[in-house]
Amino acid sequence: MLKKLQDLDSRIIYLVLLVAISLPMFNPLGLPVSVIEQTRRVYDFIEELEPGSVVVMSMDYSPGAAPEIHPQAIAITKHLFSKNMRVMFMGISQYASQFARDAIKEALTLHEAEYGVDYVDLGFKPGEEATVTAMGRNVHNTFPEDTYGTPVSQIPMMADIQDANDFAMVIAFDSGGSRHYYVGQINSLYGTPIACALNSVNVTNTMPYYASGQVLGILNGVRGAAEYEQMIGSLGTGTTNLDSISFGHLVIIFFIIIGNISYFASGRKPSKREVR
Amino acid sequence: MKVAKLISLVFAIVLILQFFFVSDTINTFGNTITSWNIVIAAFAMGLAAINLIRIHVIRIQLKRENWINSLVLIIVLVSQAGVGLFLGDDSSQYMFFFDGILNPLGATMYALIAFWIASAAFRAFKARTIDSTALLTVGIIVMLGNAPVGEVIWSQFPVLQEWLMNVPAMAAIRALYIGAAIGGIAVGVRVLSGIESGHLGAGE
Repeated sequence: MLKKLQDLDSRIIYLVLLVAISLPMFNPLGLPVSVIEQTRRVYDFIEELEPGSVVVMSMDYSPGAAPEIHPQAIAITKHLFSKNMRVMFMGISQYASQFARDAIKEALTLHEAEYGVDYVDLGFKPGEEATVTAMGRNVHNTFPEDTYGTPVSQIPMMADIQDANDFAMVIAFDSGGSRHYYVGQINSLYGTPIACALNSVNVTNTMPYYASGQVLGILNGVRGAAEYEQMIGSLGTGTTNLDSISFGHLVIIFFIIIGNISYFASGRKPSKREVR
Repeated sequence: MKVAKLISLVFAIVLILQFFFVSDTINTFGNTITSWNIVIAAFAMGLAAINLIRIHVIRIQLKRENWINSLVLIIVLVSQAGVGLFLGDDSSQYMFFFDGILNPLGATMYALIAFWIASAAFRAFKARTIDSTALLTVGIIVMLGNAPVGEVIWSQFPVLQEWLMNVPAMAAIRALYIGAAIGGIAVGVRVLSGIESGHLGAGE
């Protein structure tokens, strides 16, 4: 029977995984999550900022990565509004404004903030790294209007925001590659602190920036969102989804173990080609 | 072609100089080039949409395989663009498309990967050799270190996971980045010197 497991129908695997991921959504376990240093550094940095500091939120993620990154955006927006920061939403992804509006809507349920005074949505501008470079040199020239068509020169909070020297920090919500642009064009030239809020698959290739100090902190997928929600004391979808991730991982590990048991039970010996 | 290569060379030199030196003249010229880049990118998006429509209209006209999918694409593209242009991208109708269709579909496509990974892990993650056993072990440690249940099972899983991410994985990625950067510089020199002209639409 163990040998037959090697031919296990994939649909059984899919079904077990589906059940494992779905059950915690209806009955959350609330497993404790410890906060790792990469996440804590982002939180602590924002805590130490002076009220009224300018924080750029670059919403550069796609709908595919939104389940991981959008909860992070909501949590950080809540934090920034609670600390009376001036938040400048923008993005080089065409979905930037939509995600920004949703994050703002969620944050406004808890904290008061006035458009044009406490936050502004400059919207999406194509051009990838060129846009980041141009914004660093002159925000008003790069974004002459906000996403609603209001000239930036008429928005009160933008009066003293000219270039990257006026940014207290930039948070790159990234599922593509905008973090590389911000490290190269903003942090390298102006020394502006950069934080990254990423989906899990991109965390590994951002670690060199974190190790060298070019990125001050990283939020790691749904776990990062849950950790941040825990720190700000406002639990959301990051926390509720983390139990599903726990069970999903356990199911995958279970099937890996079963697969190996059945492999060795089949009596297969590594071929000469396999043994190096 | 020679003129195009010369323009590429001049623009690239200006941008490189602007990165390393402070000069009002170079700054002005460099900022202008960067602005042109943004404008061209916007035009490129429009061109991409037009090309997409052209290709799929041809598919519909010739009734090629799965031409229905092309029809659906055209209808959705035109609808969404029309709603955005005439009603605004902050209108409830636009947000309905985004929140009700685009966002869930995008998340679904990405989420399907989890099921494929589970099936692939079952079939491929076998401890056949020392290398594959190491890969298997590290993968399990990272998975358990990332999920809260791992910490419940053994408190050291997150510690091991953090070490794996901060030391061997980071070292490998750093080597990859350095290699890619050196390769990028080599390709850049070839492009600027005119040896490579693929970016101008010509062969080598």
